[in-house]
Amino acid sequence: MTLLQDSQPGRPSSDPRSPGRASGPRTAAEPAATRRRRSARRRKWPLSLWIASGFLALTALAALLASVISPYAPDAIDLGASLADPDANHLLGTDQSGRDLLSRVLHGAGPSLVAPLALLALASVVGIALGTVAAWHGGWVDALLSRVTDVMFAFPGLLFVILVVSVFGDGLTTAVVALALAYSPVVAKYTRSIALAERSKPYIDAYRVQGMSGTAICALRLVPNLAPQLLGYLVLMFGQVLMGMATLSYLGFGAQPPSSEWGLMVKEGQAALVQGALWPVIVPGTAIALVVVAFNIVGVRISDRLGARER
Amino acid sequence: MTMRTDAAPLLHIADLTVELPGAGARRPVLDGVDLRVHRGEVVGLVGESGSGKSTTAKAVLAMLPDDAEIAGTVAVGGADVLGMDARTLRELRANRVSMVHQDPRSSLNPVRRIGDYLTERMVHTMGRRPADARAHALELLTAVGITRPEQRMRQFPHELSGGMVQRVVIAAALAGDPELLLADEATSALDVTTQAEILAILREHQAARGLGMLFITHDLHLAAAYCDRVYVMYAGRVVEERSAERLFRDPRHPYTAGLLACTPELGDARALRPIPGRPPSLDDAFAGCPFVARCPSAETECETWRPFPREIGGGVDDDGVVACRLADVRDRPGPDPVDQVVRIEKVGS
Amino acid sequence: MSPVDPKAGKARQKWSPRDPETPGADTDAVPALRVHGLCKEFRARGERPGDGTVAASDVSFAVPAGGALGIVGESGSGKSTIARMLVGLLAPDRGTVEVDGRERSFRSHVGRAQRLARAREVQMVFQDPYVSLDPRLSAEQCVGSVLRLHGLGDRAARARRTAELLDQVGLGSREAAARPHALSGGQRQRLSIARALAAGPRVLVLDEAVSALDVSIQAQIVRLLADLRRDSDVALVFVTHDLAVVQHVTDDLLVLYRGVAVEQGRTAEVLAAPRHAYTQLLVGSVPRPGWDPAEVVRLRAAVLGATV
Repeated sequence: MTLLQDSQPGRPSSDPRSPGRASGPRTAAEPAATRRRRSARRRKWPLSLWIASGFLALTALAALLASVISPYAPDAIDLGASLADPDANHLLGTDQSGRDLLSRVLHGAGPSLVAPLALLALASVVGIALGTVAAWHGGWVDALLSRVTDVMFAFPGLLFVILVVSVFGDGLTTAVVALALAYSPVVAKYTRSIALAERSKPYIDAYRVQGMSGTAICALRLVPNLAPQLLGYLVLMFGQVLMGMATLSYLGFGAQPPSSEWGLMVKEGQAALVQGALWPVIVPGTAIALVVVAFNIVGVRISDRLGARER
Repeated sequence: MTMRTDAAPLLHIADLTVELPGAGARRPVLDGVDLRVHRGEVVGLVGESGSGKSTTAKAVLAMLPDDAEIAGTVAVGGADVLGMDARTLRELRANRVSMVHQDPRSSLNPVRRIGDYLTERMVHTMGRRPADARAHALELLTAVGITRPEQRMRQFPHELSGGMVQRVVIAAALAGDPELLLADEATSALDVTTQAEILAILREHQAARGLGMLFITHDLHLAAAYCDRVYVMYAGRVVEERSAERLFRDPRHPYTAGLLACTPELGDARALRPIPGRPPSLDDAFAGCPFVARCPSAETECETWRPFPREIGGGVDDDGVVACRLADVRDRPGPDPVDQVVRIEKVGS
Repeated sequence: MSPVDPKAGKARQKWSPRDPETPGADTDAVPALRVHGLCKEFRARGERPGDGTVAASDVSFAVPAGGALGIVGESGSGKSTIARMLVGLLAPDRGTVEVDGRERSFRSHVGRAQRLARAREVQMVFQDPYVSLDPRLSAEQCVGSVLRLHGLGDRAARARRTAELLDQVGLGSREAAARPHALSGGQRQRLSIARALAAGPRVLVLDEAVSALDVSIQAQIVRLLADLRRDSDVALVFVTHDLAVVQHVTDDLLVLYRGVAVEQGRTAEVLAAPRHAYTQLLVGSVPRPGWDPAEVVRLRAAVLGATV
């Protein structure tokens, strides 16, 4: 490391957006060198990353086009084909009511992906705000917020959500809001730790010396500088959140029938297990597992890139 | 001249060229570096950031990155360091060559006591018995001027001041009874009065044990005041090598002269004459002399003249080596500058 | 013990009262910066007043418009603490800081107008050029955002002023579009100076502003500061540990030891003939040909007592 740092000043970073690269005599060697660097970067994309991101793109596309590409309506009951194994008519088989599992899982992709996304967005807005305020003010504000988040940590998240849902009634929206509140302390704690480190950098002092207000510094300067780290963290959290959401639906506190949200599909398919039919559980379960794994592969890559970027 | 003609030097770096294949590197980190340190000699290595002075120190301990392309030799006491197997290398680092870094705190494990830091290495690497190691550690702490060593042995690094931590690091560096001490900006992070103390301690032990010392610093005045002989590095090359006193009085390389003219000196209120431009990074490649763009006396030929060490001549103070086309040199030892240009052009075409 | 003001004539010539309330009759007597009886003590939890670490103890000085004062000291002397109090990042326990004769407030919750007015009095350049610039902003955004914050001109005027400021510190159009990570250490420090000048401060505090730079670059920044003094009447406070650099930047010098100003006077005189024993030690510690560190150790023991 020191070897490289020794020559740091003026060394252009690998960031292609960096303008004004260090001036130096240009020679014919440059194009070759640039080409080598670029191909080196491409080679670092491993196969698993290609597959994972391709799968996620396909899933997103499928969710968007579910009504177009599904062979059947998701709630088309065909009691004659109850618990059919996969065949030419039903590529992934059917459930107890004879509903086509492929169509259901395609239609379920929308709510299964959008709900965790909304949840994460809400949790990060709340968490980032709380974490930043705690880090900026310190003192009693920090102490109070830290205690609140500690309590939230100690309280089982699921229990909290069930409590909220039982008070405010069930449904996807309530579940999303409740789960977002349960996750926001996690985001807040992370935000606080990186905001504290960023805040101690002299450029933040420089903004204070310039006469900028604390609120403006936090909102316009501090948080944007945390964004890459936060984004990396949140991407990694997505898989976990998706599982959490599916769990809630599985328990009956999230999406409600006739939705084909994946967690709910697992719940409904459970009864078929007794009758020896595996497909109604395997299809949505696999969908969840694949999406979570793919997100983790892509997420690790993104957060590595964002974290490693020269700042 | 005597320095270069007597018995085999303790440290002998010959024509060392190191290339790092990392992103953006377009010139070698080190380019044909020749350097000698004799027993009992304090040798200064001066340069700005990117000059390669730290890389030189790392090469002595064979601590260059695995993917570095290395040519040339580094010999300590006649043994080639770069070709050593892992065991010999461990032995070299434990008993023969020690290094003191700029930031002493980063050399110490913050959750281990000072005593553990000192004795651990003696017990594990040098195979001493714990009781002996402890006794030796106490001796060393006393030797570097630390009072109440028993108490210090029980303390943690954060409980000691920067100057004291640097003493502990020096004590550890002396533990293996080395022949060669590498001090890489060892006093740069310290206050001036503390710096003088550390320098005094280093000098005392260096003189008493007859150590060779390679003293790496960015401070030309410090090197001139403290060292016997000084190498000045620029863009991975040694541009001048002189006895400290003569270098200071009569610099021959325009870079050395420029460095002296732009370094503020206490009691000299003459306006500083900055060297234009900035020190070159690894991204800057040079066909000829790397200093040409910043040099006040550069000529067109300098842009293609590849520098090589030339023996200084043309005066009373004609010791040492300079890598400048325009310097006064002896005729014989180096190749004729004109030939050199022709040769390089042939190679290049 | 504020140094006599030899530059009163120069100061009067360049004087342009920015605030009509400043008593006009008194202008040449009012220094750009006057610090009186500044005290600051850092106490750990539970420590009583007097038991903590003293960073400033009754420090007083004045800097005339266009003048430059050096504050030198070793680590722990309190020099950075004083710098932070001057710009208002820290509040002193006691004492006052006056700019153009008006006392600065250290209250933290103030209105926008007062906050901005305060910022236009004193600005600062920080030590480490690698962390004192916002990594997200290009050089021109960095300077432009200060102008916008202070409402200095419309978009076109701000762009002109930005280019002017960057040009003044020697940054061209290529650097103007670059973000800090694409700039070298010296260029970053130039940008820091341009940013500090953007609000048009009366006083510029430089906290170890050249210490982290390569020697050849350091000399360029020193030259830049000299140009700045020639072309404007901003008062400089140059905080450093480097006695050799300070003589090239400042007229007056204040030597700080554990929060106490042990010696104050003209820079050249203090460095040529230091009167206080601590100053003598500092001057003696600077390496020079024929210099023996062992002598410094003896001198240090005599002045400060054995410290290890």
